Amino acid sequence: MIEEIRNIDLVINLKQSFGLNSFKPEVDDELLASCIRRQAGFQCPCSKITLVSSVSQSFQHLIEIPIEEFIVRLEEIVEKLIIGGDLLELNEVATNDLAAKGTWIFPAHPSYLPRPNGRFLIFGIVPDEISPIASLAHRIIYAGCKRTINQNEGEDLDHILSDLGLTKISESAWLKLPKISSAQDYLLAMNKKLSNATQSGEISELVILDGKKSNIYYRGRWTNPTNQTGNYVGKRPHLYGGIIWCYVELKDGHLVRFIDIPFRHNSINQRGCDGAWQLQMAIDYCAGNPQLYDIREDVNGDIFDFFSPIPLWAERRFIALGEMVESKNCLFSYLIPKSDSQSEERFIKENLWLSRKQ
Amino acid sequence: MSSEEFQISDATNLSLNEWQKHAIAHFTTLSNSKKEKKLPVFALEHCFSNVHIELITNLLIKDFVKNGFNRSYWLLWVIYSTEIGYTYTGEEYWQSFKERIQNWDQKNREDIRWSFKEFTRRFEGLRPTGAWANQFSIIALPITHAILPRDLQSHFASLLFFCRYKLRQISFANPENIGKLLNANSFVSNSSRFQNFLQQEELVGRIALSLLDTNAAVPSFELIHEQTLKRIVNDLELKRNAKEWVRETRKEITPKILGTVSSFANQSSSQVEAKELAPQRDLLLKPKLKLYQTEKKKWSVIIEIPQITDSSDYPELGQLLKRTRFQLAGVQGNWHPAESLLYGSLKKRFTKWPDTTRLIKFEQQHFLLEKLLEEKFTLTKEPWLFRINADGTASEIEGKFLRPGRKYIAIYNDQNQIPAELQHEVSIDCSNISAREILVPKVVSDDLEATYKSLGFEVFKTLSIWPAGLYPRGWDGEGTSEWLTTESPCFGIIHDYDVNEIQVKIASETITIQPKRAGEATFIKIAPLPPGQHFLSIKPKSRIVSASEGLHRLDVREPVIWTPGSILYNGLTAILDPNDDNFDSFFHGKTNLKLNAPLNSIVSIKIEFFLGTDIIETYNSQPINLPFNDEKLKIIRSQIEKRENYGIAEKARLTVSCEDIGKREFILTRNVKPFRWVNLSKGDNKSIRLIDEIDSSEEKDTFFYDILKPDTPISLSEKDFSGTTDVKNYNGLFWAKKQNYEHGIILSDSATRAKDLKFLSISPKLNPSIDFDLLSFLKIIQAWYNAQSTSFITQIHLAKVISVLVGKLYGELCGALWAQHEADFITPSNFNNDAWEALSDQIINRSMSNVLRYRMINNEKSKLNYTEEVEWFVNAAKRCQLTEKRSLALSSIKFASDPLSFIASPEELNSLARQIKESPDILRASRMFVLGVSKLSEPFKDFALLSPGGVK
Repeated sequence: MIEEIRNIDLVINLKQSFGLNSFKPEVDDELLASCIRRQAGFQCPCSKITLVSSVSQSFQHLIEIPIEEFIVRLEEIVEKLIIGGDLLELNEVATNDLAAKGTWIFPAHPSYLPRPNGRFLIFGIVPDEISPIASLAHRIIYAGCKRTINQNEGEDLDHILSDLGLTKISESAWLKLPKISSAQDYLLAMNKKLSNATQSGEISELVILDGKKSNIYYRGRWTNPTNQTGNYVGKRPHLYGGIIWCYVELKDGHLVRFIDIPFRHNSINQRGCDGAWQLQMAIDYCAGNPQLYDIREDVNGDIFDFFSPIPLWAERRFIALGEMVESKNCLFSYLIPKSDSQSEERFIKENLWLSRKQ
Repeated sequence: MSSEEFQISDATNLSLNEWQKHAIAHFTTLSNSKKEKKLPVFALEHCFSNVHIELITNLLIKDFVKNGFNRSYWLLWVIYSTEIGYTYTGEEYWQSFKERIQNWDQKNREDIRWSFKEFTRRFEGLRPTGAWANQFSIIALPITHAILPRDLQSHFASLLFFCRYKLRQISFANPENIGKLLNANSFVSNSSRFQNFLQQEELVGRIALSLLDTNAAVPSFELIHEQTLKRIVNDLELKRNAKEWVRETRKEITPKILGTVSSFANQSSSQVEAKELAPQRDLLLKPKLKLYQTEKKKWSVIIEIPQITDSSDYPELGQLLKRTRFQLAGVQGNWHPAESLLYGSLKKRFTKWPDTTRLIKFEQQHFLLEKLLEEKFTLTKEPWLFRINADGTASEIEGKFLRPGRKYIAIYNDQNQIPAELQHEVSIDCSNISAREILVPKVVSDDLEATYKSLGFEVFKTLSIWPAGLYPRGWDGEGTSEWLTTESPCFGIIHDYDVNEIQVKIASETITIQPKRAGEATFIKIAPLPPGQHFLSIKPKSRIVSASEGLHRLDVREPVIWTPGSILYNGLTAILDPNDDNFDSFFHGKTNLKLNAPLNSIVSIKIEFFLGTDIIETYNSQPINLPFNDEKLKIIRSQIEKRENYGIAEKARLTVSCEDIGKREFILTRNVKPFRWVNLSKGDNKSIRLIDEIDSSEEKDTFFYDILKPDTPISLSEKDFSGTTDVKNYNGLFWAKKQNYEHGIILSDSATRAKDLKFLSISPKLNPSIDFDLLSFLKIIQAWYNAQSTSFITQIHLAKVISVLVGKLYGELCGALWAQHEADFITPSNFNNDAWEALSDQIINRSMSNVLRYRMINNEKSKLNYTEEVEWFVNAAKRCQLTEKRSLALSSIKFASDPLSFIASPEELNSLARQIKESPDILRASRMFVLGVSKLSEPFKDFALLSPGGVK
């Protein structure tokens, strides 16, 4: 009933309890994603930081890296779960529970996305169960933050999942894109909005993305305003550990005016960060310093390397088509079948205004 | 030859007599074998195949047509009726007899009753029990003897799956226990027929045992004839997912079924202890208080109420919470909708610190709500201590422990209690309290420890434990955590001084751990625990420090299983208010849909209309921007009411979807009562039928009220409506009553004719020669008000009829002039500020008239509190010498807002009518008060203001 247990056995036990496919005693992405899903099941709605700090507390002395690094890793996994559709980052939430508005993390409703190859992506969280499809849990394949289930021969998995109460999400809805516009038009529209804003006083703890810094090291581009003049993507702290993404005009490092990045743009709902990242792509492109991607050949397809984050609606295409793989000297990488490689390259050039690294 | 060995070639030549003999032989053998085990016999346990049944049916029908009901073949009739019951889908049982058997008459139902009586007498056949079986004493026989009708099989498998963890907890020795558990969870299904079925708890328990018996070759429970069970299981497994649901449930409970001990039985000592600690298997729920930092150094107090799960110990709780609204002390706003505690946790902000220790109050009083929730949802003692977390929140520490190096906030309600030592005031946006920050230094001197102690706080040091791997629900960072019965809690233990050994104990099991060096973690794992409270004791032994035992409480509960179609998280909330799944209530605006979702998201509403199992119409709304309000719902209703098939649909599935945030489904059912009218009109051909499934030969009353003469009944009792009946020339209300059942349906000419606008506008006239009798008149209003509308036009006509009837009602009681002014007041196009004056001028008591008008005109919608307003009215009536009697004032307000409620209490009505006759002013003032409050709440509504069902 009660026993002392080694930390590696504890990790293996955890993996077994989540029904994961691998029982290596490593704290891998599959395990952390499962822990975050479980945590979100009862703790949400809450801020991202609340979710991350709870999970990080339960891994004290189970991980070898410093807790600060571990928190960054958990934040990345939360981000992947949002992109992958297990979690929702909702802004301007005025639920009947809290009078306060803000950006909160919500677990997504159990859903599935059928893929043409007979593989179904499973999303969503139920509070007290490890999977929304307990009766098919043994068939779920975990890969990073992604959960899939393969259709057996002669089986109508679409109907089975629908009967189990999961909502079918069509590919067009899941991969819904904003209207295509050129980087110049996008930037022009945002600059116009910014110039119409009233003048503002200083904002404490404002940080900005400095486009003059290397565009292949995203984290290194963030800086405090010092003596910059011009328009910058920025972020500032918000309620309960959240952040607000904004577009700011600076003069000699002092704030002149700012606007919050709109949550609905070009006819789709977007997160503040998605709008900000796309805006930075437009800024970089128009400044003649477009953000970069690279393609490496692999036996299983082509590996796309990215050096800066891309909006959710763009990354979802890569999740749907391929697998996230270990990145090398970049921010993240996806393995895409060769048959889709060309169209995806065209997609990132047209929609994200990226250029291939020379 | 046993009947199981029949060959088709033999069977085709058998006569009814021979079939009857075989059936009797089979049931005699079956009955004898079951008698020893005191098991009942079901008619479905016959020995015939589908082909046999078809042959028997044909012979029976031929014989019936020729000779009428022949009781010699009673057993074959029992089998035939049961087979119909097995395929019954909940619509009409007797209709299939009538359609298939020429000359079948209502009186033949008694022959079926007699046949089943014979079956029960001779073979110890099962006697149906439960409220439904008592009410429908004939239909209940074939349907109950069908064991698990086909259309309920999927529901049953789904319910077993939902209860799979709970099933592990109960004894399988008594099938009734299982039945009780399943019945207690009946809310999982929307089907009222399935809920009726679950009332037969012993039977339900026996079927569950049979289905879950994994050792099918040698059934350990011979409850149901093997061949019959195989048939049910085969049918059930044809339903998608049902097979998996049963398989998964079996997996959970297998040890028990095979007669071994459950996975929890090994933990008997812990379970005993858990039961001792929580003898009533309490719900283990407590609201949690948290502080959220909104700005630097500014905090809000949030109360978090966990989702209330159902409990097999308290089966009524789920149903109670579905019905009753509740208030939270300290939280702004009035009543919170019923049901909201059942679906997901709630977070609410305290605007004012509660001045009572009880935090929740239910509108409906019930000892369970009081015992399980009201008494448990209380505040801890002052001062309230919160530990500040890294994420900008602070959790309440019930044990009031301080730890070195941590930050806390202490909250005081009583200014005089705030110790002078606590000087760092923090801002908190909740009135009635003050907050102080406490920064506990890393090293706490003895003096400081003594100071903290004097302030009511304990300083905790040296050894800490924390949940490892899985972060538990309700972890307060100190002494308590919440777990599921499916989880294996793990903890890390660390100490900052040398410890020789650590004794860890849970229940009666103790292990001794040789600890690692100071600062190095040791981990322990506990096997999944049964529900209840468990205490984990940690006792370090050290030569340096004299350490005492630390206790950690583990609250363990069953997991809540997700029900498809329900909302999981409050990113989207959709609630019917009041919680009524009546089709007509929803489409007639008596039930509202409340929606909440993120502001910039888009909601869509889909409504599928069913006739039987077929979808006959689907409505998809345009994308709806939030906020969602009554006006938007009104538009949807008006679009739906114009659709032809809306009138004939029997039920509707309402699906609210909000992008990828979630969706919620409601099943709205239209009068699936055994006695009801059905609209069969198509285009311009109007026809109806009266369905009578009541097992009684008692006569029924049938009336027609013309839409233009709504108070004049025309008797139709001579007319037979049991088949499709043409009613081309009738525009109005068809109303019928039998025993306690009554139902009305309103028909108007079709939309084609209605294009003539003159037709839309009707002028109903009341019959001046009918003497006004209050009770009879209220019953007429009720007949119209509760009747089923069949189209958009009938809705418009009904509104007109109701307004004429209500006008007459209050005109008779308050005077003709009153009726005229009231009509102007209610109609939005006629309403202006003079309407207040015109109405108040009719109140003869000038003081009351003036104060009432002043109060209404100066009231603000946002500040309107109904309870306070009623109290004001009662006091004003006393002050202005309108009436001294509080009971009269309250009764009069009730009549002014909900006159139909008096039909159930004629004595109260008579007494009130006498007093109104003596002094009509009291009703005039009450009516003005009710209309005024309604006008302030919903200024643009018209029909609802006149609703005699009551202005809520």
